[in-house]
Amino acid sequence: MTDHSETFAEPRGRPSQRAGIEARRVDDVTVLFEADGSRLCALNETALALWDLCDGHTDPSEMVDAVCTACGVPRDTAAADIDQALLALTDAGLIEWTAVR
Amino acid sequence: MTDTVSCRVVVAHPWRLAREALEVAIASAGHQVVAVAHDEASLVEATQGEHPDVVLADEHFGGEGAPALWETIRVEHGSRLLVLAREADQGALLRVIEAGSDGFLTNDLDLAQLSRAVASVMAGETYIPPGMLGLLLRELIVRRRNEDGVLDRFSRVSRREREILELMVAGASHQRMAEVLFLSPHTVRTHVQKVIEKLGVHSRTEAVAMVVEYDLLNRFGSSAPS
Repeated sequence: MTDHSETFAEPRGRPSQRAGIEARRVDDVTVLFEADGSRLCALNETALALWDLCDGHTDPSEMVDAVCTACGVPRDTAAADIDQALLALTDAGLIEWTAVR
Repeated sequence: MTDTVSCRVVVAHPWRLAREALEVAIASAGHQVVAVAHDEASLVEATQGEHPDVVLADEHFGGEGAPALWETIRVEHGSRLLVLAREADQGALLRVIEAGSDGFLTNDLDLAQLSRAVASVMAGETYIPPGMLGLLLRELIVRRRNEDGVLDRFSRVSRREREILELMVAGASHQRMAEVLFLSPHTVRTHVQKVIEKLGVHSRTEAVAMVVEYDLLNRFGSSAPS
């Protein structure tokens, strides 16, 4: 298993949603399901927004810039929060990373 | 019993019915409406006089001058600003956030959302309606990429070509450009075509529109001929 215990201090490429995962709205919460219907996890609004950006083309630095503008938070705060969120999604096996040449 | 931190709120809306309804709603959420305003002047006066914790303002207050008005409210008076939009429109959300608002409320909000929004901005957070954050972030990313592309193309425009571009923005004809820059009209036409190609547009009009939209000449310095 790949060790993602460290934070993404160095560029790791671009995240993309693991194939076969479906997002559905259940009682005002977005829940991720496997293709076989088994429930994976629920996402809060922020995690859902980041999940939607994991399209294989969006760099985490772009997410940080957008969050800074949208939420008016300092860049280091946004970077740390996004780092943590992407790490959690990675550890949960929900996203995969594609190296950028 | 839930402890609610009571905030001092100024309500600003051009419609009396909306002002009165918002007053009732805000009071129901445990906050105090210290003043109401029906236009920009009364809003500024109310903010100066009452120093509210939060200002709840209709999105059309200030019109083109909204960013300056909101900056006055937020920076000079230290109030948090929630903007109430008449439609849950992505474009409106983007304009409001970029103009410096602390939160965006749509016309389908309920009392619980209003209460959460006020509590969020009082806690120093930015309030964005459920379901709109993802779209907002995506829009911001796309806009940033577009801008980066424009800046990259503009960086390839030479000094002489920037002189030409500045005259294009001023509406000068090719003949006028030739006179000002001591060039032949043929040379001017060549430069204009080069500018259009380098900016990746299809016409002089599009080139001018791009320069104006991204404020390129002011941001990166013009090259006005002496």
